[in-house]
Amino acid sequence: MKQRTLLWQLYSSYLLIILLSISVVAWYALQRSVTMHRIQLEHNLHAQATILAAAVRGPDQSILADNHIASLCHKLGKQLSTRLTVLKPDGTVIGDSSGDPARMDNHLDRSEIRAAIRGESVAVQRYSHTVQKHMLYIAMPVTIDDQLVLYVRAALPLNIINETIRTIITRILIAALFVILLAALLALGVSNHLTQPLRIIQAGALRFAKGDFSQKLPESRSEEITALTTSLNTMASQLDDRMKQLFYEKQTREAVFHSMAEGLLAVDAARHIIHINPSAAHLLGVDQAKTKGQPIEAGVRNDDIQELMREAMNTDVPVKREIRVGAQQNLLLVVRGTALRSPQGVRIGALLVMQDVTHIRHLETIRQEFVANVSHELKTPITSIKGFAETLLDDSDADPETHQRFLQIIARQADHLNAIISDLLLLSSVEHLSNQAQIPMEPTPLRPMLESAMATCQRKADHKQVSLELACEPDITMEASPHLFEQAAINLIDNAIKYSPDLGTVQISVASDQNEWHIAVQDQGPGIERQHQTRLFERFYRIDKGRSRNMGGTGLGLAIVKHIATVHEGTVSVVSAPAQGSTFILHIPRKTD
Amino acid sequence: MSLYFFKEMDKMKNEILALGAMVEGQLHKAVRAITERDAALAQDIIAKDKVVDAKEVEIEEELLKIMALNQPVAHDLRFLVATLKINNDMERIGDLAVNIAERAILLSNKTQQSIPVDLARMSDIAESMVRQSIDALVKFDTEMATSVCQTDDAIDDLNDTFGTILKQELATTSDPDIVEVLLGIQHVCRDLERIGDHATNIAEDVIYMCEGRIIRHHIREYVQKQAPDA
Repeated sequence: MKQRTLLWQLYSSYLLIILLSISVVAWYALQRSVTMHRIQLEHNLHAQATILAAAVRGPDQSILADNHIASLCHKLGKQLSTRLTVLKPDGTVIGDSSGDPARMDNHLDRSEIRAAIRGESVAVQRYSHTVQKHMLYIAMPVTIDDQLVLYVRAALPLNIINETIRTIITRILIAALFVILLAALLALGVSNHLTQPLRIIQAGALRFAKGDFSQKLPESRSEEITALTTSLNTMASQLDDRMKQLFYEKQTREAVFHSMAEGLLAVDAARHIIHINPSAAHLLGVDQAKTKGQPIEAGVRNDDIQELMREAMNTDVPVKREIRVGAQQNLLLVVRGTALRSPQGVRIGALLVMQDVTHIRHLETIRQEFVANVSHELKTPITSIKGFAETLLDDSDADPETHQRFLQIIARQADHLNAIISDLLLLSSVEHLSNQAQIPMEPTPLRPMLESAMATCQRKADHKQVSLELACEPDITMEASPHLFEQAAINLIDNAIKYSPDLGTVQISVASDQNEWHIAVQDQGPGIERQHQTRLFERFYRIDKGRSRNMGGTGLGLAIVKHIATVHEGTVSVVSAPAQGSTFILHIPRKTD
Repeated sequence: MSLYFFKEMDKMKNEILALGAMVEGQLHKAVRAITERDAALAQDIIAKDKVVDAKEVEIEEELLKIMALNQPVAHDLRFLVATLKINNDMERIGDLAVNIAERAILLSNKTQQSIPVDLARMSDIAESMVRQSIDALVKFDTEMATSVCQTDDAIDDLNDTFGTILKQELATTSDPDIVEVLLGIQHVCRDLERIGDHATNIAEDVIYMCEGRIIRHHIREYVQKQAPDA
């Protein structure tokens, strides 16, 4: 159905009404005018005939002479602009204002004369052969003493009449047209005025649709429009409130997602990422802004995560798994996945929640290993002691030499046990102190301290023919706790000797930059693989369990060194690669003095 | 082309990326299994290879179906052809990872021997080449692909260097355990070098996909053209 504007609909109705009404009025006016004109004309003719009838009477109830009558017709006819005719009762024309009467034929048969004979003075319209025009006639008898003496007749040519009528029609029509135009313009104005509120409402509704609720719709003079605008305004303010509320909820939700420590990753049914919070982006090593909207295979390039997501999407129960992520795969995450459901319960995607348990797991592992290690370390010498002691008790009559040997073994094992326990205690106290930072520090000359440490390890070095070399300026002084620092140096040098090949060299050197002292102990041993380097300083951590236990030692040496470094507000590091030896470096910050 | 065709192409891209992620994971786990001498992890890798193989077959069948039903041309055709080849290379990388895993099982029984070469350095390069080549595929990035091609020389050199060291070590020992370990490490180096080659192939296929040029045997000229002042 073709729609037309309300304006046009109103206006066309108005136009139609105007046209109809004015047409009807104009038509009626025309008819009446024309009729009135005709009647008026007939009256005039009748009056003129009457005057002529009076004019042809002479004094003393006689009539004028024929030639008098003829000239009278001419004169009066000219003055009145009417054709006047006088006839004898037998029909002969005595006088006529429009021609010579002698030449006119008998007029008795004329219809108006016959009507006058009958006594009806009616207007007759007919063609006149005399003047060769259509004329309108009125005839009247003239009587003297009730005796018919003459007929008088007045006439007018019809074309004049018709012209007059035409003028009247034209004038009325022009007036009508003018009124129609004026009315049309006015009607246009009125229609426009009526439809204006609707247009305002339309513009307002468009603004609301765009979300702009700032301007309310104005009231209108008409009740219905005002009711409409009031409803629309109410609706607008409700929408505004609701949108503000939704926006606020969205902001809150976004804030929650953004601040969560856990990572959140959500995909839709097509496995495109619909949400990823900053924690998840950080854990997975991706750019949050770039990943959103991508399919998960492109966005997160971890096979385990992708598989877990597929599983979560297809099952109704939550799934949980531990997954390693990261470029070095050194982050351990506990990832829980569930299907994403709409409020109606339809599955629309999947959600993964990631928790970083690397540190916790690491601590757990260290603790477990430590407990196992301590138990093992302590058990080994005790088993020996117990075994040999029981053998001695059982076998009391073995020779004194065997007894002596067994007792020596027991003593040695007891020493080893003691060493472990001492080291544990030392470690514990250093850890405790490093937590409290209450060690007395004094400026200590470095070279003598290192030489003393070297002296302590000299015997072991000589045993393997390993040479110890020191490169240290003689006047360097460092803020340190002399006893602890020397212990750290001893541990490092001892390790270096232990792992050096026979005839090798252990180099101890001291260097510094603006901020730190670097005390380095370098050996030519087998080197340390990268994955061990980070765990090297843990208690009881051994790279190669078999080999290092055979070499003696408690497994706590490096842990002690690390804590001593911490006590001095420094760190210890290792530079090493397989077959390239190892260098252990103590980094001690220089105190500004 | 029809909407269905676009959807299928998209799906194909995601499938090949999923395979890439699987293979990347297999390689990384294999390297870890070697360094940590973890036999259980190695078994996982070997078991998962069946999934990798199945996926490769699935992708190839899907791809042939798309080509048969849609008769693609120009860029779409290049994309599908390159994907077909990349599919293959990825599965080979998966197989090489399984080889490495098998060596890890061997090593886990001989924990007292240490490895005389810096395997971590070589495996890092191999892993980053694989990762970068798949990155280049994701983003249709020819620059990234070119740098993968250039890195292949580095891993080849390392393979040669380590090979020499290992040969020297082999000459000095007669202990059968040590010999077994050293030979195993030599295999691993070779496998890593071949993984590098496959990653290079993937990168070359990406360049073909983007530019329509087969640079397989003209890598140096192509690289020169890309960066004439390098």
